[in-house]
Amino acid sequence: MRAVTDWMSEQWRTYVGNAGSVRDLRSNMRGWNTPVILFCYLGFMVLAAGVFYLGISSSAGGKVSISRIQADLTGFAYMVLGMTELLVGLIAPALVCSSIVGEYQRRSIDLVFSSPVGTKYFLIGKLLSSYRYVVLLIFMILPVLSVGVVLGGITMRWVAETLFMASMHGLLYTAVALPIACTSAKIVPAAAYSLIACIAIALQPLILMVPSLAAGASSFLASMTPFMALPSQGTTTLLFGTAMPNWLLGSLAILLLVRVFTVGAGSALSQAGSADTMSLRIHSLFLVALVTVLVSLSLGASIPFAPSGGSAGGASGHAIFFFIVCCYLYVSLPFVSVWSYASDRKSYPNGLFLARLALRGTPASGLPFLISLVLTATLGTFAMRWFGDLSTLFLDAPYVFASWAFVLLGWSFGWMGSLLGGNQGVSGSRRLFMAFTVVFFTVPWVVLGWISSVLRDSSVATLWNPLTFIGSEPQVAMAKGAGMLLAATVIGLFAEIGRKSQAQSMESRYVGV
Amino acid sequence: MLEVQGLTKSYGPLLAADDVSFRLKPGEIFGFIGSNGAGKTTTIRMLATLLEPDAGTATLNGMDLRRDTMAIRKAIGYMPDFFGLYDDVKVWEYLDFFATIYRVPQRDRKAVIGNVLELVNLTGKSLAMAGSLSRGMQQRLALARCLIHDPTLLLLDEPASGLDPRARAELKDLILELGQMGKIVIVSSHILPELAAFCNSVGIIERGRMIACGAVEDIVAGISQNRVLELRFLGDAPAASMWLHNRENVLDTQLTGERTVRLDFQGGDEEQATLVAEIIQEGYPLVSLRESAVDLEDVFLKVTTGAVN
Repeated sequence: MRAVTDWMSEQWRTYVGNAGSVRDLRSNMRGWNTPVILFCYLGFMVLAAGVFYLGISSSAGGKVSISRIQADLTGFAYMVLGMTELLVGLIAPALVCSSIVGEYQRRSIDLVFSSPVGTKYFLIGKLLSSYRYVVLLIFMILPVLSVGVVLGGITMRWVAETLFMASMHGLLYTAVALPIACTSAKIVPAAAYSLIACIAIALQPLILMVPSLAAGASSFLASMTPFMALPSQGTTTLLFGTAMPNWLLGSLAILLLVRVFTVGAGSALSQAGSADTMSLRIHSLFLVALVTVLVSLSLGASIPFAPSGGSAGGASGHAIFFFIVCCYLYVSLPFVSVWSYASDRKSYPNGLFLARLALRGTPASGLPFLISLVLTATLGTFAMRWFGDLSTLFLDAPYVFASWAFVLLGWSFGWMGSLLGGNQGVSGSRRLFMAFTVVFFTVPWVVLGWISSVLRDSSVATLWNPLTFIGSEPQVAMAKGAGMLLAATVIGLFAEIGRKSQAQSMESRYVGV
Repeated sequence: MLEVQGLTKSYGPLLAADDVSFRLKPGEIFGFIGSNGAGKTTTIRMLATLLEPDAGTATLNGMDLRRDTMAIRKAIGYMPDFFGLYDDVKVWEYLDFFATIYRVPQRDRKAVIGNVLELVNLTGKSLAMAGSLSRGMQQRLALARCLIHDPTLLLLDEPASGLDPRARAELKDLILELGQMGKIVIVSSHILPELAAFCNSVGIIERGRMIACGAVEDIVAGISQNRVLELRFLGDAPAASMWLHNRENVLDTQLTGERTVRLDFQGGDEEQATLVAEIIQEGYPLVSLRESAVDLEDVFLKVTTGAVN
């Protein structure tokens, strides 16, 4: 009983009475900046409404039918919500980045972590302070939307559901910025990367929805992206014979993703080898399993499952989903696979692959932990299908293999980037990782695309990009996977030989002085 | 009681703290001395639970650094060599934030904040913005933050750096007062004479190893078994220095000026009196002889080699 009450009081302290969120919100709201920004924002909304009203009244010579007004008001509500979502997408990550990177810059983070709070308390504080601000922005458009409710066109329920989903999107964007901010030294690059990540995360449900839409079914994924949230209003997904509202499933999925990003940020903050790091890594594995199992189940439930010859070439919806999970894991690589002698000392390399250290958070634990994550994702995505037709499972094998190879190739980029750019700290290693990724996956693709347009031969364009395997035939996916695995092995080996030589040089420089 | 046992931390091939051990009792003010990069901050950060030791541990009143991390954090006040203040909050808000995260009960918070502000002499500034305070006041606010939860152990890393003489004197008084309150205080500093003025014990660390540790008097006595004598002559000090160099009981001589010689002398009062008689007998015009007191700085220079990691 005591344990339960302690746990509850701890949750209350973290989520409701979080001193960090109070402090941050107090700072955000202090001075004239915030009132001026909010006033301008509301003024802009009112101005947009005025222009809209003038547009309606002038176009019809002042005589407009109520049904026309109602239709126009619906369009107006869509526009206002679109603008708000855009604003939220811009502001939420920026707030988190300035708050967390600011803690690093003034080094107050050490003071917080020498007090009896863990990474969870700190991160939830940051998340909530930004989220409160975002909610304030979203609910400020209520007066503007109320016109639509009063005159018709939109309903109270529509407004409530839409604002709720907009706030959930804001929460997701805030969470996306957490791990990026925790690994950045400067506010502006952190905010820029977070914005890119937010755009990517807003787009990815669209990709995942392709099989679902092709099958003519609705998907809860639609409610997760602002691009499709409005048309997905009122839709449901059939789960175990029960029609579940998509906004509810979407919100649950967002909360799970928020948890994933928070755990990622916590891992970045915690000390190598600490109990915190181990706990967070176990959490990551658990969350990856949970997310993949749930999404995999809902994919099976919402769309007629197509084991081959699906909408994206040969890959099934599950294989596409697994590839997307691998893309997410790829994004985590700059934090898992890099090392440096010239940076935070937890990044000092201590080996290539030490399975017993998989949960400790040092560079030697990067590869085993990554493999554990991908393995968990593989099992989570495909395990449930073992209860169905096993033959369909083998049809996806080439795509799964290629997705694994893709992640391992990314890991080798991180290891090589660390060897060549590690003298500028882990940020240098990460920059080189990004450069290798762009050069390997994008540049040849663009160049070949240009050549194919000159030669008027479309086959040239598909020669290179390994990532197109997801839309290819199984043999092609297998070949591209093998190519990426070979490249990963060669690059990884060269990087490891270089690392060992660098380690010997460091030893001779320091030991025995 | 704080017991540090074999704390070790390495960063790759660099051994930042190597088997550091010491023991401190309540009310003890411990000066932590070492060159830049010697391992002071690493040790202090390990004690503050900000770094995970590779080996060894520490216990504070029976609580283990590794096992009871949160309990240890509640019992320590850590002041790093930077203030880390939030500029955009008021002084009381800053302390209220830390009082909350240190779980000071809400009903007591106002009184506790008032008490620590009074202790650091900042009562009149509670409504000022933290960023608008002078450096000395910011430093006192940082100290107030450390005290907000009434810690047992205070870790003060270079607390006097960048302060003017008055602020340093005030800090010294404050640390002495904290010692009298029964707190264990660990202070790292480069300003050795000041440390000597308020520390009961010191630890000297070099290249991660604790090379001397104990009560200030014991360490000084251990080092100053040899007397340091300063002799002033009317003239020809170089010749006197050469002659002295070959005398029995004289370990080393050093010409410190045209007329002054400094020598390391091994022996008691009788041997010293004999030496003075011999100097005069040899006809060297001795004007004065002064025995230099060995201070903490001498000890530090004597036991360290200046090597850094």
